[in-house]
Amino acid sequence: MNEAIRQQVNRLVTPEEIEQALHGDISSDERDEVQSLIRWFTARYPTAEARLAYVRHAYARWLINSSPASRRGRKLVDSRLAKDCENQ
Amino acid sequence: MEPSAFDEAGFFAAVRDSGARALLIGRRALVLLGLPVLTADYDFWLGIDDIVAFNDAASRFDLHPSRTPAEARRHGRYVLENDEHVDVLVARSLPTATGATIDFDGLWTRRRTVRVADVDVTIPSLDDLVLTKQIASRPKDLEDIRLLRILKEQQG
Repeated sequence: MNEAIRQQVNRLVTPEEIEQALHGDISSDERDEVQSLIRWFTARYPTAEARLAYVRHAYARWLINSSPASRRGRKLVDSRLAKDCENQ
Repeated sequence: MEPSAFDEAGFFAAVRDSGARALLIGRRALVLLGLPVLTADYDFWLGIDDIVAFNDAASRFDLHPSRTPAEARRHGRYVLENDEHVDVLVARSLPTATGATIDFDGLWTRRRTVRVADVDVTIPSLDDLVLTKQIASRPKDLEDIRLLRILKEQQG
């Protein structure tokens, strides 16, 4: 991960951005997408331990596919990558 | 690459058996609730008097603290590490980026549990998870807030 991206990922958001996340409208597309992801995840991994195990494996796969610089960053940044990793 | 052979359920059981008031927060708590997010770390918020008990439980998994209990109390956080990385908050209360204050005792009172294997893992309520996402808010925390809002709607 280059420095510019790292700074963007780790920047502190503004109170206005938090207010928007807390109270802003959620589009029907976003709601449908998230609900679909939750349905997929909880159906494929119906127990909490299965979900945790999946995340550990998905993170290991992500480490393989990421650059050394990204690996130093340790944290994955985009939850939507979870299903992408599953599909690789 | 395989994940390390960390006995996750065993670790949660050891934390439970330690008697430490330890809330799993962060993205692993979201995963327990059914949200498909990825993370490398474990995040706990710990009762400020429970550091030694928590560290004793973690030591059985070769997780070593980055600070002494006194230092951890002073700084409000520390890390336990080996192949795994556990971030631990130990403050009695913390401010959010919007100026609110979250106190540990309130979170603990409103806690819920999620069954992992045969262990009840303690996490904050959905509303309190949203609050914890406002402590050191980064862009991914905003995304998590929106995920939690949708999950809450779904759960009615």
